[in-house]
Amino acid sequence: MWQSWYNWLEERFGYQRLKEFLTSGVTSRSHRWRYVWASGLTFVFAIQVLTGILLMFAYSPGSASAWGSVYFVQYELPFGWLVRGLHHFAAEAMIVLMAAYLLHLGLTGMHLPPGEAVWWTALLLFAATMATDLTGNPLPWDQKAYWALQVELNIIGGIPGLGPLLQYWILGGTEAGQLTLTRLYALHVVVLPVVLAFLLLSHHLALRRYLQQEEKMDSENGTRSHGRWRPQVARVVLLVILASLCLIPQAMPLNSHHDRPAGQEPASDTAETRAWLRWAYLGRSGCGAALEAPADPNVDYPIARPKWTYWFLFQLRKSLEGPWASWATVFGPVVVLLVLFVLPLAGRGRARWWIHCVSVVLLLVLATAIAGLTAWAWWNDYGPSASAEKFQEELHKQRDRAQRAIQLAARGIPVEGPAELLRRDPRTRGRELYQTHCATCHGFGTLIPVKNAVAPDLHNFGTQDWIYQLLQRMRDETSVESQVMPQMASWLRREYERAARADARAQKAGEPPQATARLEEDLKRIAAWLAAHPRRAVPQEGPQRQAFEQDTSAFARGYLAYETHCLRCHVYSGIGGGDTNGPDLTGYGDADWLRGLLHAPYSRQYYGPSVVRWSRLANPRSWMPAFRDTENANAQLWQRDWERTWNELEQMVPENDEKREQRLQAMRRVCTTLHLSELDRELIIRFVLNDDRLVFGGPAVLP
Amino acid sequence: MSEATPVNLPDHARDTTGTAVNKAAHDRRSFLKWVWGGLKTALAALLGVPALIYLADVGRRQRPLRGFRRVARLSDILQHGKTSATTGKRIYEVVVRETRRDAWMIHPNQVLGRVWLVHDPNQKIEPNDPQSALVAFSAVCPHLGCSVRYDAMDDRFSCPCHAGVFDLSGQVLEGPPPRPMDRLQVRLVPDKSSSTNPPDYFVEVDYQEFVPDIPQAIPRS
Ligand code: FES
Repeated sequence: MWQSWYNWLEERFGYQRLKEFLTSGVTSRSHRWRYVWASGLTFVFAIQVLTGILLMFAYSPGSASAWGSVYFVQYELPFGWLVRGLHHFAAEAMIVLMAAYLLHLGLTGMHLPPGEAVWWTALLLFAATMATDLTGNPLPWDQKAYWALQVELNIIGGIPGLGPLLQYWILGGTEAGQLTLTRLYALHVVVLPVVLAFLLLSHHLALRRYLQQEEKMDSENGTRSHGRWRPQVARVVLLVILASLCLIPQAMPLNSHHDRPAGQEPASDTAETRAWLRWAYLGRSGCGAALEAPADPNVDYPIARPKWTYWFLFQLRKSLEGPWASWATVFGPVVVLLVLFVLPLAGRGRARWWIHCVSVVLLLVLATAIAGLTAWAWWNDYGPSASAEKFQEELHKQRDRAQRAIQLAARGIPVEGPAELLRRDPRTRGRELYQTHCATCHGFGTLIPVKNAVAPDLHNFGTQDWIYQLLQRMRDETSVESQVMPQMASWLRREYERAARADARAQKAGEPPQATARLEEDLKRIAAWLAAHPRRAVPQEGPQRQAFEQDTSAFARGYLAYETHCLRCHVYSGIGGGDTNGPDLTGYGDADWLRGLLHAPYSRQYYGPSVVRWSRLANPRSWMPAFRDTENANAQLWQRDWERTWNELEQMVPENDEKREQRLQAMRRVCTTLHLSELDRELIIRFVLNDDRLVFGGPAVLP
Repeated sequence: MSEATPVNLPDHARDTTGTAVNKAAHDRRSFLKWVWGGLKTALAALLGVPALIYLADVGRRQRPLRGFRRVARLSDILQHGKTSATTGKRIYEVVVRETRRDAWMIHPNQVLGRVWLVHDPNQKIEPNDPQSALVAFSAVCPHLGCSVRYDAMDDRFSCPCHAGVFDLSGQVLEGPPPRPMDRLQVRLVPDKSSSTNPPDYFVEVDYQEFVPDIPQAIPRS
């Protein structure tokens, strides 16, 4: 039955002719080592086509979606790490094989007639392979890819004449973005592969013709034929090498368990984790090709490097100086390629031997130069030197960013694009903003140490421990805390002194000293109470009040301790404060409280009254400026609010104060307002409060 | 294998297998060939099977999770709902929103679906099981999934696509829908911050979708 089916096919289509065309003339020569390269290359190309098609099922070219889709392949699709890893490493393998092949051809003299067609197609293949690789590298649109592309395109742009045009066309404009990706994508998945396939076919045809001639010569000399197994073994070895490369972790691991909201675990995390599923998601342990943080033109990336296969060019460019440097980078390789191209033309007849010698020398010099430059580039970044250390440091920073981006991506990537992940992450962006806006005065634990800080360290701000430590540090007159809050500090010291005196008296009377211990106990209670950001109103009279006093909850105990010690100066839910007007402690330390503080730290609700009262006006650095958006729609509103606050402040300075003018001037100086966008403010607040949620705008879910 | 050698095999293949080779060598060769073939198949399977799994995309990406979601306050229904002329019931449409995940992307605050709330102010509210005092209907038509509207003129629900008509308790009055409107679970949670008397409630609905165009209400999986 098969036979008749086959016969029908043959009769109607004549496939046999095609098969004959493809297989005829394959001779024993085709299994010499130097011919194995071509079959190996074809095999790797086939891998690229297959894995490439598989990747296309998930990849989405677009500046807002590319990184996310690659993340998805690497971490969420089963065996995505393997498919992507194979594609990545096979690309590198193709370049290496191509280079080795050319070297082998040149050294054995096969590039000279009658092998010139073999040589030329091989050279073109090499160029096309590089082009395919260069158009493929930027597709993940991560930091590394983005910045490497910038460098490459600048080099292209440096070509006189055509350069700027070419650069403009590839970019699809003047900056890398959406069109850049779609253009590179079209080149990478359609145009160049077709060119490559055509060149590979031509190369094989040329090679076959060449072999037939060589065969004729050899049969006259009676040379033995070679093992048939060589190409097959080479293919299997290649495949094994590529697959094992994928198993070396190069990407960042993903601890999906912690960072994923319940119910969104991928299949591998559910109860029936099967063994093969663990293999399927090896990408989460970092297996496969690396993926850096999403491309973000706003983030400094001082370590832009091309792929290691192009390091020699990079190093060449770096070590050349002067106006013709970029010329040399572009034209050096072009000239070399041209020379290689024309070599066979000169190698006819008697000149053949000479040209062969010249080619061998040339190729060896070239290979050594490339190897040397590559090693040099490696040495510069990974060797023992100061610049290498800097590079490593920066590399670690970028790795941290990559790690964080991937953790965040596991919760889903905003439609605005993956760059928003880090831009809206309190831990990343919030920290940077803290560094620029706050760290001139406030330290942040060991994360952001600040020398000569003039304000309290805000690491763990608002927690019980932080509040208690703040109080304790105030007892030391020289501490930063007692300098910024002198009134509070002197009160605290008095409390301690009073307690110490009471203790001394008790000791004299032969009673156990308790006053200091009780004071500390109360302070701890108050700290715990404040750390819960209390906002609840407390009954002030009647039976409800009596019940409240009997209440043993932490809130009630904390409030009662607060009432005895702090109520005189501080306001809580509209009560207290007296004439000292200490900051309002309602909701102390929560996001709302901080928001208000940042907007107007010298309003009556916060530290305003102490501005007036305390003579530290002479030292403006110890006063916090207001941070708010001075450009948005609310700016005017705030301005009015600020005027009102200022009026209040003004009134607090007594008319008969002889230094009134001086004071007012000093106050004006310290009450400055700095611009801080709403988003940045929220990022800083969440960073300080150790709140890890991304900051997003948009309407609330609920009325 | 010498006999089976196809005509178009290269010459050397015939040289080495065809003529004066002894049987032992022949056996060894075919054994090696077999082993080699096995190895290749294994390797191909090792990479081919993952490729198929990758393509099949076996990871489960679920529908948005079930669960009660806050959609309105009871006072909203009383204030903004339309009043049914015949029964005095209040009819109010709410939108259920949820963060939706689309492959690697999230869309915060996306509309999951719409729900019709029918509240009878004359009945006593039993927060955990409001029964007929507060009923929630999915706005998805049980026929083919169009959006059901409330028709204030005729005091009934109607579907514009194929003229399905339902009464206020969701029963089919006319048209092709094979079953009544789909009822969703609903509950009331006291709003602690409210100062009104009787206290205000949050309305929470457990939104889900059902298989269309069959007589029974079967949740979509
Ligand atoms: S979809 Fe509603 S009646 Fe057909």
